[in-house]
Amino acid sequence: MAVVAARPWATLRWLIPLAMLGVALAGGAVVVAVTFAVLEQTLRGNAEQESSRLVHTLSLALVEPVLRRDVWQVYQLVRAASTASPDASGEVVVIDEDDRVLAASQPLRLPVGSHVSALPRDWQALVRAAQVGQSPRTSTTTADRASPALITAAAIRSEEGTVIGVVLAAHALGLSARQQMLLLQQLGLIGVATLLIVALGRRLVQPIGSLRDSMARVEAEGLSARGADHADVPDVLLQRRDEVGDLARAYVAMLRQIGHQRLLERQVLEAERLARVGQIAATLAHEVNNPIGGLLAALDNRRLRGGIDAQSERTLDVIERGLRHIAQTVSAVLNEARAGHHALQADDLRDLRVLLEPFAQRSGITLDWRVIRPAAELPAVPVRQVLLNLSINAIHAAGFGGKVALWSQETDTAWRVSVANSGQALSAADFDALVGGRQWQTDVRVGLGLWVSARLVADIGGQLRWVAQAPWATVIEVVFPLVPIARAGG
Amino acid sequence: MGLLRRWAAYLTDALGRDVRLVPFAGYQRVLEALERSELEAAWLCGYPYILRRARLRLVAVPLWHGQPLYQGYVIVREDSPWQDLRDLRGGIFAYADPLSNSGYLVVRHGLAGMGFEPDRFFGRTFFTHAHRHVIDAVADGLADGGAVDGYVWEVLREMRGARGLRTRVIWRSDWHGFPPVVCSASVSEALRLGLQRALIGMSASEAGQRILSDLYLDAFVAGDPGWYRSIERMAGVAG
Repeated sequence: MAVVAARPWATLRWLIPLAMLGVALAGGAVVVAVTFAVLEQTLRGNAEQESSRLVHTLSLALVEPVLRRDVWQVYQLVRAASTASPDASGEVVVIDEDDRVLAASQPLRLPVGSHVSALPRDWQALVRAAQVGQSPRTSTTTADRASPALITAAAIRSEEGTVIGVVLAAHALGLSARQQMLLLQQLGLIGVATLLIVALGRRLVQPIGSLRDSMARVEAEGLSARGADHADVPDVLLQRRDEVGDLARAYVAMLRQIGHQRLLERQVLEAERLARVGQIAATLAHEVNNPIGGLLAALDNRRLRGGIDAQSERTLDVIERGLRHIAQTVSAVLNEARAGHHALQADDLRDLRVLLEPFAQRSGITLDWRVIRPAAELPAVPVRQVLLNLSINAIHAAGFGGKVALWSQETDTAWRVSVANSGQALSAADFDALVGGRQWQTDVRVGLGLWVSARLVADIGGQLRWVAQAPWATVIEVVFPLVPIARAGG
Repeated sequence: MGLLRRWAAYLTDALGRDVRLVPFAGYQRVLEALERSELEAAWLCGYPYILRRARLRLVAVPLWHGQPLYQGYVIVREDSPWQDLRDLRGGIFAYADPLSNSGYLVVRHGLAGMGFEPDRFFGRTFFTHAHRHVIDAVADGLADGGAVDGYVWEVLREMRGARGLRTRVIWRSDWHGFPPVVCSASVSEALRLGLQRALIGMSASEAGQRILSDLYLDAFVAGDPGWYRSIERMAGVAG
């Protein structure tokens, strides 16, 4: 598995939340910008309409009080007008025909009797314009005010049309405190939503990050050493029903498959190593036993000729015992090699039965042994190994209290041995998959035993077959050809 | 039910005839309505009663703190620097009504007593035609000072709290006869006496006591025209 340099910032667990955060912030910024633009436009439009309407209405309502110079009534009107709207931070000023303030909505800022020259310059210009009949006029100013304001002026005319005063109305263009609070609340909501989105992004990506961590651990510790172990992938990931769950399950299946392949490779290597040892052993047997046989024959010939004195006879005995000891030692050490070459005898089958019976007894299995040595010659080692493997598998499959039976049948061309068991059944499809090495069960030994047996039988030209035969759960038939193909070597 | 409606209901019940109570802005309008017989009786200031006493007859006088007396106040904004009536010279002053004793006459008389010309003492004056509006005008800064009925100011202070009025008193007048209930001279004596008995009887009934309590008054008494001689004297000097 390729190792990629770690870049924490480039992982999905960060990229996705960051991307969502970016989208949220960009969206929020657009919302705020649009809100401000719309608000600005609305405020200005409202200010123009409200101011024009206000000064027009006041210019009519104020005629009588201005004529009477009724400060209190004028004040009541302008105070009511300036506080009519909760968002209007406007100011209203009434100038009399003597250019003095008759009343203002903020009397402490513009006291009664103040001269018009106390007003900001642009306000004064509007008063002059209104007095000469150019009312109403509007002007935007920031003079003496914290925020931009729209100023509107209108002349107050008597019934005869004479200008008896001027009313000025200032309408703030900026946001009122209430509007600012509303905007801040909306921005706060956007901020909270952004945090929630980031948290959601982290939560969505967390399973992918967890799977990535599992892969990283497998990568760091080495796949071959772990085999089919998938404990590092949390169960919660495997139980998910979404794409992440599919990915986790596929990853675990891949781990198992790779683990099986690694185990198979090790078995093959072991088999090949044993084959090499066998070849060496056969060579040693050939190269050591033959000369010893010659030497022993020579000793026998010398004794047959006679005339050996007692001293020489003791010497020859010593030589013969030494040679036979060497032969026994070689035979003992290289028993496998020597055994591979001898033909199947009744003793081999008996030994096999003796070997299996205690094992079956410990497992609570009833073993029915009806295997008869074939008349034709068969290599003892693969036959013994195959029958041993299949018998052990059958005992495992039968389970405690089960039955296992072996019986043989000889024809002109083959010696067939059937290994049957009660208990757990093996389907034909699973048999084919196991023998073909495509699928091994959780109990690796069963699959491996079948596969090795199939290979051993194939080596001598035979085959393993799955047979349906009541009342047995599973019957495996081994077909040994009676014209065996000799293995290479020795 | 509002105070005026409860009071009208009480009087209707006491007099055995339908009584309506109508609020008026400005004493001049009250006098005109009395003269045109649009009103039969009115709760009026002592000054217009003196001015029109030939055509008005005293019905009853309220007792406030056990006395048929009250004062006129000059008030200023609570945070203003002024401490005395003289400090308001050249300033903007709010009168209650040109026919008000406490809201006009007593201040002019006081200024005259100090040696000032009342019409020239202030830089600018205006009328609000109600004592409550005088308090608002001063509190808002529309006027530097104002003349107000001491009874009205004290009652509002009790209702709104000391800070609620945003004004303080810098001058108090002498004690004068409390604004009386009067009736037109064209009203029958029987009705005048009936109304007088009804008003005096308020302190003897539960409903009447509740109304008096809401008005911050103790009771009504028959009263005496002589209680208003001090106003008569001031009107002769500064009216």
